[in-house]
Amino acid sequence: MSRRKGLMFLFLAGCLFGCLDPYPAPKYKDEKGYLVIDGIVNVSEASARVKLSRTIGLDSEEANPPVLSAQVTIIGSTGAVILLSNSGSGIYEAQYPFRMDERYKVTVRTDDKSYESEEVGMVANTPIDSLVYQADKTSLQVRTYAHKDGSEPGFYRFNYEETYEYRASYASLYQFNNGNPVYREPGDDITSCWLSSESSSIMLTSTEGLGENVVPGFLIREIQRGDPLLWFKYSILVRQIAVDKKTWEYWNNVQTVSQSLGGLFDPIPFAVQGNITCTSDPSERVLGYFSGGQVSTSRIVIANTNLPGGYYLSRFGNCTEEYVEIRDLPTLVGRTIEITRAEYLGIFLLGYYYTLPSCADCRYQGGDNIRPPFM
Amino acid sequence: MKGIVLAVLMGCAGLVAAQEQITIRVDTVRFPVLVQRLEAETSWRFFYKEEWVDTLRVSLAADHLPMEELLRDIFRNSEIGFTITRNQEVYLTWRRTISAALPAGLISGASTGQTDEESDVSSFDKKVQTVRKEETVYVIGKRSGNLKGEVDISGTVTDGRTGEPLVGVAVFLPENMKGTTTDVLGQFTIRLTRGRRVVAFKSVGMKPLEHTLMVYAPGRHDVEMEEEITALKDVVISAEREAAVQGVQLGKERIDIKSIRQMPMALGEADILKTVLTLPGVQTVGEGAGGLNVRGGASNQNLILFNGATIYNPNHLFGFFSTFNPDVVKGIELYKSGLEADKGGRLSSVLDVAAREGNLKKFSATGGISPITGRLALEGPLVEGRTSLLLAGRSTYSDWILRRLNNDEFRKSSASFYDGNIAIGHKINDNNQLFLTGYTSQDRFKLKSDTVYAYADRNAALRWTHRFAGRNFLDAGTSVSRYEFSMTGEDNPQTAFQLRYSITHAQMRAGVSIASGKHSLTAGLQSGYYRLEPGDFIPRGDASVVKPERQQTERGMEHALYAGDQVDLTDRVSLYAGLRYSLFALTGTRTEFTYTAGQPVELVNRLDTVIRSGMMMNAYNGLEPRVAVRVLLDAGSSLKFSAGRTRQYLQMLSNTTAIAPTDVWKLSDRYVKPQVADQISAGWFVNRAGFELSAEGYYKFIHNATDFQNGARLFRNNHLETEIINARGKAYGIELMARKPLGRLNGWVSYTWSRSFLRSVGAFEVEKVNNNRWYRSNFDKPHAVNLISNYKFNRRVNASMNLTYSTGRPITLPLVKYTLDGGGRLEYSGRNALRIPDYFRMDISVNLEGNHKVRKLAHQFWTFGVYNLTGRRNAYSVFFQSEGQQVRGYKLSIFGQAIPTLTWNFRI
Repeated sequence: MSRRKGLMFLFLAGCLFGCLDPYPAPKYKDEKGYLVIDGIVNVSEASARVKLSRTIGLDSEEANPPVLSAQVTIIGSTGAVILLSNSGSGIYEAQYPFRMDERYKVTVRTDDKSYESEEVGMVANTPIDSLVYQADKTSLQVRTYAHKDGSEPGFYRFNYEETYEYRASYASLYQFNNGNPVYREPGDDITSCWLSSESSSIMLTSTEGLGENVVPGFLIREIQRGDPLLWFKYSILVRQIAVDKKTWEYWNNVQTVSQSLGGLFDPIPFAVQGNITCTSDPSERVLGYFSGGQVSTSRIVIANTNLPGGYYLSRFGNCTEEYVEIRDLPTLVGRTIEITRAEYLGIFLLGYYYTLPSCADCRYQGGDNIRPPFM
Repeated sequence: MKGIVLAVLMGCAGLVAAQEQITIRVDTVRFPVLVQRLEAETSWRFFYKEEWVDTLRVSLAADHLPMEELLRDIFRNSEIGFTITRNQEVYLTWRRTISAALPAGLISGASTGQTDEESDVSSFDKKVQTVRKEETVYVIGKRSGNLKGEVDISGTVTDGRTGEPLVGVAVFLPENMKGTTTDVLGQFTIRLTRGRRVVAFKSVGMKPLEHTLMVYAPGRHDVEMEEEITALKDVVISAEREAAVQGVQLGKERIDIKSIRQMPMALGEADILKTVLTLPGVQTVGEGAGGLNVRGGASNQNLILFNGATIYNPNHLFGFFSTFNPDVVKGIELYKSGLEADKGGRLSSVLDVAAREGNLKKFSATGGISPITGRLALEGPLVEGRTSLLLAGRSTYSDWILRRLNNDEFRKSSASFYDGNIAIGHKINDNNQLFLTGYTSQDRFKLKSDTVYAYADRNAALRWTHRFAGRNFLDAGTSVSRYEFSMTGEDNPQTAFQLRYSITHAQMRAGVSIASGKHSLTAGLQSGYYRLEPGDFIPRGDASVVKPERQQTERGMEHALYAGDQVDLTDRVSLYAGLRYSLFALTGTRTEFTYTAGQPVELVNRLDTVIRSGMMMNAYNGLEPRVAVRVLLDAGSSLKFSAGRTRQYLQMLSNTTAIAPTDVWKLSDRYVKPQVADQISAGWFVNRAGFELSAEGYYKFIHNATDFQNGARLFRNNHLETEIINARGKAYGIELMARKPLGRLNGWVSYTWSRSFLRSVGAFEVEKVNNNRWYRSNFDKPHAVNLISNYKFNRRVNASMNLTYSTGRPITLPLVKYTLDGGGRLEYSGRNALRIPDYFRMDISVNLEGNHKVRKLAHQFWTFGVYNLTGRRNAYSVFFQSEGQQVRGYKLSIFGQAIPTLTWNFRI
C-alpha cells in the first residue's frame, strides 16, 4: 500500500486539485464601520426584531460592536408606527399584531444619521409538513419537507436553534459546603446540562424549477456519528421563513459571497446591496436587510437510544477522581472541588471521592442545568 | 578550383546538337553493364555511385537518340537524376539534380532538385570535379538577353521526407533581406530582378538552403527541404526573424510545432496554448485557467481556429492541457493586431492552429507516454504522392490514478479526457488540393462532489485550394463545429438533474488572392450559421421531481465580405488597406421580453412578452476598416503602424474568473449589442548582430463590452439582458522583446507593460459597477516578464529553461466582516480593487535524443522536465470564507510544488 502511494505521489507530485494556505486579511482602515441592520417581522409570533451592529476589520478578533442607543421604528403602510424597545446588545424588539395585508418599513436613527428600508410586503408561509431525521453509519441528517398549494413557486430561508444535553464526566452527588459535603437535592443536579445555539450558515431553497411545488427533503443539519451533540438527547427547532424572490436573492448573494468562493469556477464576489439606505447621507453604505412574513416552525427531539451504535462515545476525557479519607477532609477546605460520591464500609463512612469542578459541574462548559421543557 | 569549374561549365553553352547520339539495343541488363557498353562504343563518360544503380535493370532500343532522352526514359520512375555536360559526360545524382550549365536546353528534370553541403560530388567514384552549392544554378525561363525588370517566381516548399508542404518558410534574398514566407500550402511567390539571384530558404528545424537562380522570365521553382535531425533545438522561431522586419503585418506571431516542442513542458507534453502564453501581450488569469487574454481582451474575444473550424473550449482537464494534440499540429499563427480584412468575428485576436497533413511518401507512427497522457499518431500515403491519411488519438489515465489515491476527496473526484484527429490530404493535381479534417475532444470530471461536468468540442472541415496561373489562388472551405456541455447532479435523488447546452456553428468561406505587379489583392466572402441550445434542464432518475425546462433556441447568421490590397509604394514603404463588411442577424422565432422605457432592464420592469420571427430580427452590420504601413529604415530594421476595427456578434458570458466549461455563449440580440473594438498599434523591428529586437505599443478601445451585474445568474436564464451591463473597455500597453535565435545559447526575453480597464455606462444603480468609474478588468496585469532559453550541450543533449513573472491579477476581496442571521458575513471591496500575489515560475527541461543514424527502425527521445522548479505556491485565487463566526482567508494554488515529469517519445 505504501509503495503504491509513493508511486502516486511521484505521479501527481503536487496538489493537482489545489493547495490551500492561510492568507492574511487585506489591510483596511475601518474606523467606525458600516451600520448593519438585520431586521425581521415575524407575523406568526406578532413580533419584530431588529439587530444593529457595525462592521469590523477582517483581521479583528473582536465581536461586531452592537449599536446600543438608536431609535428604531417600524412604520406600516396604513400609518401604524411601532417603536421598538431596546433590549440591550444592539437588539430592538416589539410585540405587535403585524398584519399580512400591510406593508412595513423600518427606520433607524443613530446619533447623527437616519436610515430607512424599502417598504416590504409580508410573505405568507406554508407549514412544515414534517421534520425527519435519518441516521446511518456516518452521520445523522435532519431534513425538512413542505408543500405549497398553487403553482406560484415558494422561496424559503431556514435557520434553526439546536439544543443538546451533555453530562459532566462525573456526577456530583454532594455539594462541598465549607468543608462539609452536603447531599444534593434532585433539583440541584449539575451533572446534566443543556446547551442551545443558533445556526450560523445561510440556508435557502426554492421550488422554482421543480415539477411539484414542494420542498423535497431540504437538508437542514448533518451531524457526524460520535459528535457529542448526539450522546444523549438532541433537539432542533427549525424555522422556515417564507421570503419573496427579491429577499431570497439577497440572501443567496450573501451566501455566495460569504460561503462558497475561491474555487476554479466560482463566481467573482461582490458587494451585496440590501434594501436599506442612509437617508441623511445617500452615499453611505448600509448593510443588512429588512423583511417580514409568516414563520413556520417545527421541532424534533432525538434520543441517543434511538440511534444506531457508535453515536455515543466515552465521556471521561481527561478527568480523574481523587479519594480523600474522612479525617483528611479539612485539608480540602478552600479548594474548589466537587464531591462525586462517598465511600462506605457497611454503615461507616470512610471518605469521599472528589474531582475538579470542570469534571463534575456541567455548567463549566457553558450550558444550563435546567432542563428545557421540550427535552 | 571553383573558378576553374565555373569556367568549364559556363563555356559550354548551346552545343546540344553537336553531341553524339546513341544507337544501342539491350535487354534487361544491369545499368553498369549498359554503361560499360556505352563507354566502350561512344565517347560518353559516366560518373555515379555503383550502389545507386545496383538493382536497376534496363531494356531499351535506341536509334540515334539524344543522350538526354535516353536517360530520361531509363530513370523515369527512379530517384536518380542526371546532368549532361558539353564534354559528353553524364553525372548521375541521387534524388537530386545538379544543373551544371546555364543553357536551359541542357537541363534535364527541370529544377525540382535541391543541393546543399551534402551533395558534394566527392562521393562520386570516378574522376571528380568538385561542384558546390554555389555552382548549382537553377534556370528559370528561356534564356534571353533581357536582364532588365522584375518577375515573379513561385514555388512550393515541401518536406523532403514526408512530402508535406512547409508553412511559414522564410524565402528571401540575403543581399537585402527582402522576402516572403510560404503560405498554408507551402507556396510562395517572390519578386526578383532578372539575372542571377541567390534565394535563401529558412524554416525551423529544417536545414537552411540557398539556391542560386538564373532568372529570365516568370516561372516556378519548387524546393524540398530536409529535416535537421541532428540539431533539433537550434532555432526558436528563427524563420520569422526576417519576416518580422519585412512583413507589413504587425502583432503577428507564428510558431512552428518544433519550437513548441522545445519549451519545457508542464505535464510532460508539448502544449500549444502554454507556448502562446510566453509571447508578449498574451496573458492568462491563472494556472489552470485555459483562457487567453490577448492585449487586455477577454478570453472570449479570441477566435481559435483549428483547420478553419472554430474551437469553443481549447482546454482539457481544467486547462492543464490544450485540446490540440502536438503530434497533429503543424504550427500556429497568432494575430494580436493588424488583422487583415479576411479575419474577423472576434475582437482581440485570431489563433489559427493548422494540422499537419499525413506523410505522402511512407507510413510512420509517432507517439509518446508521459505520466498523465498517452498519445499515438499514425500516418501514411493512401495513394503515394497524392493522398495522405493521418490518424491521431490522445487520452489520459488520470482517472485511473485518482482512483488509486488513498484520499477520500480524490476518490470523490474524477477527471478524464480524450481527443482524436483525422486528416486526409489529397492533391488533385499541381493546382488543386483538398484537405479534409475531423476533430473530436471530450472531457468529463467531478470535483469533490456529485456533480459531473462533461464537455465536448467536435468539428469537421474541408478545404480546397486552387491555384490559378501565376501567384493567384482561390482558397475555399466549409466547416461545422459543435460544442456541448452537460452537468449532472445526483446528490439528492429528488432533485437529480441533467443540464445540457450546445452550440453548433456551420460556416463557408471563399477567398481569392491575386498578385499583380506591386499589388497583392485579396477578396472573399464568409458565411456562418449559429444554432445555440442554451440549456435543457431535465430530471434524472425516477425519484427526481425536477421540472423539465427548456431555454429557447437561438439562431443567427453572420456574413462578411472583404477586400484588401497590399501595395509596395516604394522600395521601402508598403501599405496594406482592407475593408471588411460584416452583417449579423438573429433568425427563427424568438420570445422576447420588453421593459418599461426609462427604467432599468430588470424583471420588475418587464412590460410584455413578444414573439418575433423572421430572417432579419435584430440585424447589426458595420464596416471594419484595416490599415497597415511598413517603412523599411534599412535592410535590418523597419517601422510599422496599423489600425483596425473588429466586430464581435457572439459573446461568451462568464462571471467566473477562469474559462469554465459551463460558460454560456450568447448571440447579439435586441439588448446585447455586438462588441466593437478599435485598435491602433505601432512597432519598431530590428535585426542586428544576431539579435532581433522589437518594440510594439498599442491602444485599444472597446464599445459595448459586456460585464455583469453583481451576483448575475447566467445559467438557465431566459432574460440574460437583466444580468448584463453595458460597459466600455480600454487597454493599452508596450511590448518589448529581444531574441537570439541562433547559437548554442538561444532564446528570448520579453517585457510587457499593459493595462486593461472597464467602465460601466448604465444610468441606474443596478447597472453600475464601481459607480461607473473605470475599474481594472479581471486580467489587468501591468508587468510581465518572460525568459525562454535553450542551451545545446552537444548534438544529443540540450536543456531549456523558462522564467515567467507577472503581476498578480485583480481580485475583489472582502474588507470588513459583519454578523447577519447568526453568522459572520463579508463585505467586499469595489470590483477588482485588490490583487492576488505576483506570479513567478521557473521550468527546466532536458531533452535527450537517441542516436542520429538517419536510417533506423525508430527515432526516440526522452524529455525530463521540472515544472515550477522553485516550488512556489503561486496563487490562483485568494478568498475569504466565513466559518461559523470566524472568517478565514485562504490562498488557493494549483501547483503546490515542483512537478517532475519524464516523457518518452518515438517515431517509427
